[in-house]
Amino acid sequence: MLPGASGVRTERESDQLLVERVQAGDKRAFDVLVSKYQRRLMRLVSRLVHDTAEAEDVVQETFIKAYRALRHFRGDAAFYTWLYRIGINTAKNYLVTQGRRTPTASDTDAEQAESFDDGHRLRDNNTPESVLASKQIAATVNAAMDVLPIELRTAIVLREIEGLSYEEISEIMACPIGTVRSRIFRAREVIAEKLKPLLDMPIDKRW
Amino acid sequence: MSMGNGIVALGFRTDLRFRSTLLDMAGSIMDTHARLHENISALADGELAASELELAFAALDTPAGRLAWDAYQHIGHALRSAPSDGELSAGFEARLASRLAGETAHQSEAGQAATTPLEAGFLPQR
Repeated sequence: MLPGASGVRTERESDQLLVERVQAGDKRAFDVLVSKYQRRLMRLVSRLVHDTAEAEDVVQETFIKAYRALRHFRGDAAFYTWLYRIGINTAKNYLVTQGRRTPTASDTDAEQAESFDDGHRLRDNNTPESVLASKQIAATVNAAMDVLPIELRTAIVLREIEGLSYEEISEIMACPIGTVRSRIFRAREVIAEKLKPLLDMPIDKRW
Repeated sequence: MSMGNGIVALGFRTDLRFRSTLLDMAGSIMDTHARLHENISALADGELAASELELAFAALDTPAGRLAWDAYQHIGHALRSAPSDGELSAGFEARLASRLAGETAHQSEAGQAATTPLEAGFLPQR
C-alpha cells in the first residue's frame, strides 16, 4: 500500500500536501502552515533574539521569506526543517544588522541568577527547597545560555527544546552531524561549568 | 661554549622537553576527558553509536562522568521548563496576514525567474 493510502499521513507528508497547494496558488494552505508553526518558530527565535517584539518581527519576516521561496521547495527535506533554517538565518542577519552578535536583553535571567544570592528573600516565601533549587538552576542555565555563541545556542535549543535529532539539526544548521554533536556538547560543558558550584553542594547548603 | 655552559644548555633543553612531554600528556588527558564527556552528551540525546556505548558506560562510572550526566539532565530540564512557550502578541496574525495578502499567489508567478535569493539556501538532497 502506498504511504498515506489508508488516509493516515505523517506530519511531513501532510505538510508536503499543504506546500503543494500553496505552490498551486492556494494561499489558504500557507495560512494553515503559519498557524501550525508560528509558536514553535517563535519559541526558537525568541531564544536567539530576546526582545519579544523583535523576535515577532523576525518570525514574520521568516514566513514572508518562506512564502516567496516556496516555489523552490521540492520536499527533499521536511518543511519545518527548511522553515527553521530560514528562521535561524533571518535571526542571525537581524542580530548582525543590529550590531549584536549576541543578544543583550538577557538582563532578566542574569539578574535572577545573581539575585539568588539573596536567599533570605526566597526562604521568606516558605517555598520547598527543592523548588528553589530548581529555580536557581533554571536561572543559571538561562543566564549561561544568553552568552553562548549563537551556533552553540542554536544547536542546544534545537535539541533540548525542539527535540530534533542530530540529523535534523545538521540539515537546519547546514553542518555535519559530528559538528552538531560537538556543538551540543560544548554548549552543555559551558553551562555545566556555571552549574558546578550548585550541583557540588547539597540542596540545603545552596543558599 | 664552555663545558659548564654546555651542561646548563643541555639541562635547559631536557627541562623544556620534559615540560613539553608533561603538557602533551595533560593535553591528551584533557582530550580523552572531553571525548568521554562528549560520548555522555550524545548518550543523553540517544545519539550514541553502539560501538561507543561501553566507553560511555565506563565514563558514567566515574564521579566526573556522573556529575556531567547530572548536569546535562538538569540543563535539559531547565531549558524545557523555561517560560518562553512561543506565545505571540494578539496582533501578530493580523499583521502577518496583511503582509501575506500583499504577496502574489504562486500560480500566477509560474514561469517567472526567481529574483529573491533563498535565505535558507538549497537543502542537501536526501
